[in-house]
Amino acid sequence: MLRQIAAEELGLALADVDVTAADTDVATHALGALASRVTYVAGNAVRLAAVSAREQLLEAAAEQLETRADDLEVRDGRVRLKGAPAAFGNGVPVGEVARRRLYRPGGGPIVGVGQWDNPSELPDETRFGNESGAYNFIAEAAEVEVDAESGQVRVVELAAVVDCGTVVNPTLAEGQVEGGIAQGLGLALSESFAWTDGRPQNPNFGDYKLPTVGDMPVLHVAFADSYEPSGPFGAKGVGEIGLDAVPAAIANAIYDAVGVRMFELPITAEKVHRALQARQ
Amino acid sequence: MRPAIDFRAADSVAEACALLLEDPQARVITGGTALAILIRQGLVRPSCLIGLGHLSDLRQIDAAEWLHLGASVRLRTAERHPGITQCWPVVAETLGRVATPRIRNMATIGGGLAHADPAQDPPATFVALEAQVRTAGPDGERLIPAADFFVDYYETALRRAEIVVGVDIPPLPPGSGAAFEKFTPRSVEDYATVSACAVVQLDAAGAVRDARLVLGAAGVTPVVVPVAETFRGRQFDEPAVREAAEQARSVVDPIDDVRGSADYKRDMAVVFGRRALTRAAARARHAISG
Repeated sequence: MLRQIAAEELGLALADVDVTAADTDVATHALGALASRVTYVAGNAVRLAAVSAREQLLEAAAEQLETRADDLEVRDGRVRLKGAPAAFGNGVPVGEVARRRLYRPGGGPIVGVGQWDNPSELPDETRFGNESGAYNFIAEAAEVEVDAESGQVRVVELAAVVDCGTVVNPTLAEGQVEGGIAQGLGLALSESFAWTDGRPQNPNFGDYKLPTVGDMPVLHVAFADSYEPSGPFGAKGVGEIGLDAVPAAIANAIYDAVGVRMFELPITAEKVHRALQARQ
Repeated sequence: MRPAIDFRAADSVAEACALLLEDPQARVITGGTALAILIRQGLVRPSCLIGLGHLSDLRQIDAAEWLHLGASVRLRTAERHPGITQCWPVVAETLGRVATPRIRNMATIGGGLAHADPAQDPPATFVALEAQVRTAGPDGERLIPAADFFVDYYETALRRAEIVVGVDIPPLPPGSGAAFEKFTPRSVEDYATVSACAVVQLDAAGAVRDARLVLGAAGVTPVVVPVAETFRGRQFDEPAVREAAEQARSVVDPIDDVRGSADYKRDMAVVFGRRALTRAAARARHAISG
């Protein structure tokens, strides 16, 4: 997804862009891949770095071709004259421009650097702030079956519609939302960390129960038509939003099915069973 | 660090028993799905593991009259065996609910019996089917009714240096049906909150000739619910099955854990006991009507 943003801005093919794993010994510091920041914050930084690299590339090309940078553009991996008819040829490959800039007296590589931080208000003493530059949104709906004798809840289908601005990579975005829903399902129905005297009582995945593939409902994920002006190519983050509304949707579906309101997570079969008994 | 553990591949059951007699800290290993966890948790510290892997006798399945399962038969192999799916569907149904296919591809019939974890699924079914556990030891072979084999929490009737070599399951009497229920409300892949195996035999008029109900994860061993008396001479109907299953409440002895409180498990023992009996009776009717 960061590759896509860089390739789009630089006019290169996706295959011509690599993302290297940063060695934290030498990489600059950043807050990290958290709070659904990667597409929005890192994406904007990558786009700005690509803009800088493209400007340097066009300056170098203008010098080599004895023209003005303003008259040049990068398209399909080649530097061309803007609006030139086909008879003027295919332009010069980006790699060729970069190589000539490097192998000359006083030459050097083209290095674009970008950094970006959204406008934000840090939390005040009441812990209220506005830290994100662009919020994403989700609507989720669940269909459940409740075993009225045992209280067991089975989620049959779950649908989500997400507003994450421009969808940069539909496959990854859908995967992020589906993964979020799986986490939301665990949060809603089964995951609970038990402590006694400060000692965890279920420190393994046998006792602490994540949903498995067999527990997943049929999922439907769709994206709202949306554009975030401050995001890279209109994009916002999509990392965490998938899980947010799942417990509420399931709790409301349980109420719709058997008429009991569940207010505490996880909504275990035993809690539903007790609620059903208390109602009788 | 855990100390290194010796491994000896036994060439015969007699050799395995002799090795166990020689070294009380040695343990037999087949699939290792239970033992490996116990070793990792430091609950068992064997000096030596005795493998039964290349004893082909212990891997035999014979479903001709009785069902004979060798101790080293993988659960997944038994679960998919045509003779078992046709003639002992409740065995396939039970084994098919154990853990996950990854586990079942390793775990063995005999290993699970010797492990005697009260939360396991097969023991209740073996007891309900009146299976017999075949053992071999320094004093020779024994046949132990499954109901007597499980003695206490992780304890069996096995004597020192004795190993499980197989399990023998009689055919269901004519007019019978059997069903297994496993309640895993947290996830499809879990130990049971409670499990139940029921066998119901009906006569041609629909009256109950015999009924058995055994619960798993409901006590330190499989718990037999004495339902036969309740049904005797009665039609298998809703009032009879409710009355019969209700007896589960007083005979189970579950514990509070992450799979539910003891009170909840008592309630569920009744619910899933009744469901197992009801499905077993439906299969019995099907057996009678052909």
